[in-house]
Amino acid sequence: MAILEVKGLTKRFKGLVAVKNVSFAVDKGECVGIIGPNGAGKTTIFNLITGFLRPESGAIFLKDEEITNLKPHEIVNKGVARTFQLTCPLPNMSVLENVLVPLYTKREKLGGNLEEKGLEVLKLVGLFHQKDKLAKSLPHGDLKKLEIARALATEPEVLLLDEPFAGLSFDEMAALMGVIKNLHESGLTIIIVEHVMRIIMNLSERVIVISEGEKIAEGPPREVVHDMKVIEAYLGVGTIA
Amino acid sequence: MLRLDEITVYYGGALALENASLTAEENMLTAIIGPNGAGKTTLLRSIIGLKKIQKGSIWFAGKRIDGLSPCEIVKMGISMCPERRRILPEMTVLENLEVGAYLRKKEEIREDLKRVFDLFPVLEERKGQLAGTLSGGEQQMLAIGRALMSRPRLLMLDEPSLGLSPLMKNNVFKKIDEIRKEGVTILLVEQDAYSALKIADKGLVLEMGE
Repeated sequence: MAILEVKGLTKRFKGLVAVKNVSFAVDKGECVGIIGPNGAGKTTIFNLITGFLRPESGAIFLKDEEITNLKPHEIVNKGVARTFQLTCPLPNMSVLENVLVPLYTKREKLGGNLEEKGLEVLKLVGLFHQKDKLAKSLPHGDLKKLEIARALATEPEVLLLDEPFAGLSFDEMAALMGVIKNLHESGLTIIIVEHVMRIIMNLSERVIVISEGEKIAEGPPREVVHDMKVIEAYLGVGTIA
Repeated sequence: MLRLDEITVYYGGALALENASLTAEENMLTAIIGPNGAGKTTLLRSIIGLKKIQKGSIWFAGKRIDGLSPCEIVKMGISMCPERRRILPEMTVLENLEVGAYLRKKEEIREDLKRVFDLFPVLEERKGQLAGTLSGGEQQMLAIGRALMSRPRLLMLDEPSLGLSPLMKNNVFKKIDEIRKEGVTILLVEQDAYSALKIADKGLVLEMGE
């Protein structure tokens, strides 16, 4: 059953049609990759789903309930969370405090146990041992994990990850890959925008390819990377084995 | 061309670089690789004068440059493409590129603009657009283009491939190689060691400040 469904989404920026009539559905528990050239509209799709932007036409459904045009915080409360390409932690707060901020939205549900929940989230992403450090002192790889922790703290059913692997070293990538795999295995639905193809091939069960605002291909990763349209627009010849 | 002699740099109270030395020969591409937090970015920031060094010395084209202001260092022919695409979001794409060439006469830069637009055609299509409205990868292209606009003798690139599609990443590395062949000395900090070392004359590994 589709947990998230996007139907005929279109977004214009003045003369430029950034997203053109894009439709797709994501099943509960699935991990779907979105790839495409720079400027294709991938982040714009995330911005539309999460309410940062409003589409000119089209609709977005979460568990059959329309969420188009809701405000970002309302969409978070419905169960969709996201990360951003550039990490934006609260630099002078500790790692734990950074996670407590989004948890504040759950304070009624959790009673007095915000901190307990916060530590649990930090364990999930492998940041527990860093909990008392100031966010600004974290290396890049840990900042990327903190970004995910902050999204997880809102207890999402669907998690949107925007280039979580950008700028990570091989070791950091391996660690983060483990984190995301565990989240996926625990049943979380994940949509990931990423340029590191090794990651996309490894993590996603299905890949959607966007080019110039349009969906040009969709399917299992092994099939999509051999699609000539995808090779021409995105991969380049000989880029992926 | 560039020589760092046992430089030591502190960030706040923390030791970021300890007795780090390197030389970059003229017209060569030197790649610096190493884990995040090893001090690669600090190294570049020290060279361009954004970060004061506590010990050691930095020499460029025979002159000592540590202690000079970033502006003086840029005038000597060093430019940097910073990581995290620090472009000027409220200016247009074209204005961002012109800022990169602000030390030079307008008539001189036409050719360089063309070179940047050949490298990244999307920047020409969007030259009138505010830079902040570009996608992440396009902003990265703009940051590289801006660094090229000063016609540097030494070009320092801090993770230029960040956020670029596989196709564009290949293009950028090919272009970096071409720029080196035109006679520009390049210092490249890159997470993707494989791509960096493929085009590098020399590779340096930085680990925990050493």
